[in-house]
Amino acid sequence: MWLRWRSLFQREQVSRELDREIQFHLDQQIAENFNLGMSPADARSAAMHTFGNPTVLKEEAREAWGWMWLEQLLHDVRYALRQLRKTPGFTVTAALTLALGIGVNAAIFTLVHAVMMGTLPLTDPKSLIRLGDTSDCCVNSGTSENGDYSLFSTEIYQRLKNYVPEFEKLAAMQAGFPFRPVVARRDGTQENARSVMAEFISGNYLETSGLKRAAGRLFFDSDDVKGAPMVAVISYTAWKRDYAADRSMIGSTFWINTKAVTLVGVAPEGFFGDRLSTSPPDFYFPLETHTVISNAAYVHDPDTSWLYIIGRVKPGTHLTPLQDKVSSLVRQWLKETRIFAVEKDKSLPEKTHVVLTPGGAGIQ
Amino acid sequence: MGKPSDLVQGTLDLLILRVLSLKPQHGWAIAKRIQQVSGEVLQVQQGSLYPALHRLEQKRWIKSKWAETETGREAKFYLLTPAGKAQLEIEATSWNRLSAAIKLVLETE
Repeated sequence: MWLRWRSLFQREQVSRELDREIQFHLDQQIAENFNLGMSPADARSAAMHTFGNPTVLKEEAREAWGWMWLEQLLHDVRYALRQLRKTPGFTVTAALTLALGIGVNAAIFTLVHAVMMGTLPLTDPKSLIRLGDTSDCCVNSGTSENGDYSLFSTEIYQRLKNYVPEFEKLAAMQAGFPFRPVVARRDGTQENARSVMAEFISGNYLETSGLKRAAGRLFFDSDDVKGAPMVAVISYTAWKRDYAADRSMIGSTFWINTKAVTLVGVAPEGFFGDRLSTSPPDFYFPLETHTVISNAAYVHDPDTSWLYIIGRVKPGTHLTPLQDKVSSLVRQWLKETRIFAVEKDKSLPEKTHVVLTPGGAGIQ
Repeated sequence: MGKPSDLVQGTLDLLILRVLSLKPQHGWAIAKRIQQVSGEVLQVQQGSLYPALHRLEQKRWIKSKWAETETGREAKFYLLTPAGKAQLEIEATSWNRLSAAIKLVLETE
């Protein structure tokens, strides 16, 4: 039904419908309060209180039937962006806080603070290069539609690492970690198992970012080998928040998704991982352990892309020829490791390319 | 609780379209789902929700239908239209671009 025309010509009926709709919502809120243990009287008054004035609500819904909103929206978005440029710190923090009238998790303030104060402990972020320019996620089989690759298989990552000497270091990280928390429990304690954020990273990832350990040690390449004893690095935040920075837990065992893993060290303070997130990883594990810990079958499947790649280049490296080199290598290898059997896929290899983007700011 | 700013309106529209892309729901369930899936971080106030739903319906990105809930009560359910599905894609892309821009502003010297 054309709500606009109905609102004009059948005001009464639409208005009554809105009453019924709002009443239903209110009743649900009262029921929920009651189920949470409030007395019927309290449930009702609490619901009316959070609900606000129903008349005002109906007025606002009616206002929504007008045309003004579009112009207002565009105007305000442009204005908001101009303001952002002028006072980025305050304005963005305020905007994030106000958005949707929500309570923002304290973690995002810590992250914004760290970014703003420039205390991210990366060494020389300007020489970090990311292979890829999109936030394609998370575990892909098949080919990229326009030939632009930002997500890679383990096979391609390892070949790039071995055959492109322009990258002094090349590291990889799991793209889709925000969607796959793990269950962690410290061995030999009474603590309950908890669901935590974890990211799988190559053995040289922390080193490539130029990070120094806060305690214990960070990963070696030898940790990221099939069959190596499983190890973990904990984030500084998690170490401080959940374990009161207890040094004696370094070397102890954790049960991660019911598999035994040894905690070897703590990442530096102020490092929150490679992307802006309200839930940065609490734990880091080597890529190879993803098979056992997450039951992932695709770590060594050449047809499955699941990694973001960043690397360090020597100062003064020309990026355009490097980008062309990486693109043509990836193109060649995809032809070898993939089957472009379907007719429509046959033209894809020629479009294959990788865009090099600055890596110091993380994945965007 | 004051009127939401218009920058905020677009974001709420995006979340509503997304929730409805999974299955048709009534207003109460939409707000609850956003709350739950976001880990209790996003609490949508009724004052924002209903104007947003009516606005989206006016733009024909969603449509409504009165139907019975499992408990036998009558409620107004919303469904995503094909146009709404397309709009969801557009708004999601826009949102990603905006948050990337914010990030740039924070980090560029």
